[in-house]
Amino acid sequence: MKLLFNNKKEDLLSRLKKQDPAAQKIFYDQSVKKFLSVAKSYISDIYQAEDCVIKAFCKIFKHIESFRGEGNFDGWARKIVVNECLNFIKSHKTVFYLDDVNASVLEEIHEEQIVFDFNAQELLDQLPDAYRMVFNLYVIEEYSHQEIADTLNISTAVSKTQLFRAKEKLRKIYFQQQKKLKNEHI
Amino acid sequence: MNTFKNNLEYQIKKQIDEREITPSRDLWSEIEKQTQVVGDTQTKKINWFLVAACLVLMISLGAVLIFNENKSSDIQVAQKETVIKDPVAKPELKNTPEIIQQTQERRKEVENVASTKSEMVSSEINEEKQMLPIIKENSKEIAAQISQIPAEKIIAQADSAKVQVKKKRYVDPSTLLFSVEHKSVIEKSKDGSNVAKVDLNSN
Repeated sequence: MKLLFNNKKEDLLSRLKKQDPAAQKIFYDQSVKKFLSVAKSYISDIYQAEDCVIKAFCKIFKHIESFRGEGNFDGWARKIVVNECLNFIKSHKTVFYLDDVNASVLEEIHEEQIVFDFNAQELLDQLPDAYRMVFNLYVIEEYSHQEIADTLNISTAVSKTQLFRAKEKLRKIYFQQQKKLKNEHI
Repeated sequence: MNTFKNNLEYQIKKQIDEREITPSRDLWSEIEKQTQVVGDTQTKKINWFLVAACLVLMISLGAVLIFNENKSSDIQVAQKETVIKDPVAKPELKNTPEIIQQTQERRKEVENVASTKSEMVSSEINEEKQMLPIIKENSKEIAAQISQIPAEKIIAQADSAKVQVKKKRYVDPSTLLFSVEHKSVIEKSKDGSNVAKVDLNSN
């Protein structure tokens, strides 16, 4: 069954490389929702996220020949979506990276009892762009700090501080939401 | 309590990875439009290259054809001279004894005065005689060549060939007589020019 699935994927990939419109539509149907979810985690506005997804699909179809089949095609395509979102943020917004975080503060964070009935998108939407980009790349895309530094043209130290601040901010927002919910129940 | 799975970041990642968002508008039509535009621009580029390549090919082919036509027409005219000799030569073949007889009669009339000219004429006739059998021998091959050559070309070039044959072989009796009668004057003017001054009132 897995072999059949792989064969289907390889067939779809070969058809995509031949610029087959039917194969492009199949690939679009398969991955548009997932890609839009990824784009939305970087860009709050749904229309802007959709624009990024459109551009990403066009790039995928155009540059599909450059995919040599060495890795996972879905991962390659997802990376294009992420890069498109990052480019959009860089070109449309001024991003400030705040530096100088006390190392001792980094170790003072303690996970508290968390009730996981929260909306992750709501939390992410409240993060500044710089925090959000680093947090998403590190936590969701599982990039290393070096890869984040290379992608965003920042130092690894800045990447680490942005991640710390992002986590801190997320917790604050989360607990604020929880307090609100408790007050509403009372 | 602070396990990885209870971690806030992990929960965010899990939610983002698991969720799917349906587009609010028809993204596919926009993707199709953009990919078609890209495809059109690519084909336009290819078309321009094709047009340029076609132009170069046409020009080079045209040049080659023109040069070849010039060369082949020269060659064909040369061939035609030999080829067309056959139909033209055939009637001459019948007439040659008559010409010989005529020249011989005139020779008798002029007596021995026109001996030099008649020798030239007879030598020409002899040459013709020598050539005619060759044409006869090659007549089959020549006929085959004629059949290969298009009729239009043969008709077009036959006239020019005929004129050349006339120039070579036709001997006008009046000029021959004239040359014999005014031999002395002609001989005097043999200083390389073809112009002879003849006083018509002297006779």
